[in-house]
Amino acid sequence: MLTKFEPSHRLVQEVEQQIAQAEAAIATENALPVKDETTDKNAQYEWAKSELQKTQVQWKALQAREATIVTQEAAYQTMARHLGEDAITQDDLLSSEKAAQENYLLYVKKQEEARMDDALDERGIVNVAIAEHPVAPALPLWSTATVLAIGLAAAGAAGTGAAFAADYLDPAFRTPEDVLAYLNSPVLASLPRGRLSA
Amino acid sequence: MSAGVLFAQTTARKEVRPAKPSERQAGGWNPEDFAREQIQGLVRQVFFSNAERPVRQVVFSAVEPETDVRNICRRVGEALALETAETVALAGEYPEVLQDAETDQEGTTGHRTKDEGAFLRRDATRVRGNLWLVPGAKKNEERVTTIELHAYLCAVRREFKYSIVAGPPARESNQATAMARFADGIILVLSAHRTRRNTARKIMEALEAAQARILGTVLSDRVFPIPERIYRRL
Repeated sequence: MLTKFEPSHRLVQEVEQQIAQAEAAIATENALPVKDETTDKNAQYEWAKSELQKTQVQWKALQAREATIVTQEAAYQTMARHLGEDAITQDDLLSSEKAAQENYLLYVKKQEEARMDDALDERGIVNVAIAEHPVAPALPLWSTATVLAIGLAAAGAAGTGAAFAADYLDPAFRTPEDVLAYLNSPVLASLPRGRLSA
Repeated sequence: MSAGVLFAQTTARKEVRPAKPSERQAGGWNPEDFAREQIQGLVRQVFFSNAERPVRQVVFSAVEPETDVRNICRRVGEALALETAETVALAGEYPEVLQDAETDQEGTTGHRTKDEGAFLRRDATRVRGNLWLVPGAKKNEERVTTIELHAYLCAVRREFKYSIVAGPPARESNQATAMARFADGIILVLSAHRTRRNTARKIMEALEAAQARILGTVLSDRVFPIPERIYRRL
């Protein structure tokens, strides 16, 4: 370093200061006498013993805590059983309440209807009443002439319809027009029924 | 020219009831006069029309066996005999006509003017004037063959100018069809309110299939339940 820097350079100064401190420390150590100390206590044993004692204390605490927890568990189980029984009882009570409520509403409705009926009865009001008593008419609704006319018209219509039906359904010839239309052959003569005289 | 076209116009004209002034004055409609006019119209249409093929021999055949064809043939023959001076023959069995038949000068019955047709000369009977009655082709209740039928119709045609043949019911026998083929034509007699349309049409089809000349139809047994005055208003 001295080949590269001046002796007054900062780096050189710092290295020299460190060397001086190291030499001072070596000198101090060399000045103290050599001592050999011996004790009758085993440190490891003491540590293990202390650990054992702490563990025993913790074990006692845990046993006590276990007893407490067991007691609490029994209490909780008893409480849960009671709650279950209470839940069943509650369901029964809720069902009973619902049924009772429905019955109550039904009874209220019936009571209201009965009250309305009683009120109507008290005021003389009923659902059906005879507005006017029937009487036999003095004159027929339709006169005899009308009935006869309707009957005549109906009979005429039925007879005409029957005649047309019979005419339509008759498979035999009746008139020369039938023959001409169906056979497409001229009708040379059309003779009335009965034996023709000479 | 078909028979349908030939007679269509006259048929349409004939479908109206007759109305003679004398009958109207009498206040009634006479079916006998009506039938007579119808028969006369038939004779004119069939025998005196201007058809290409003149009709000399006609077969009348009914659809229904109950229909009296012979009576119609007799009326047609009588009307035809009045319309012409030529000989007219009624071919068929007419026992009631034979009772009223005239006799010739020799005091015997029969048509003896021709050499052919021995059975016709022997058995033909003059009813009146130019109207002759010829026995049918049926002999001793035996079935007539087609050949015999043909010979019979040919003989009648040779002997007489006009001939009207009462054929068997067309619904029961094919003999009517055979006769129609040999003759100049056939007239089908329908019975009103009895002859079914389908039956008549089948017979017409059979006749057409046999190439028979169908001259027309006659509608018999008609009834007129509606009074004339009301009928004319409908």
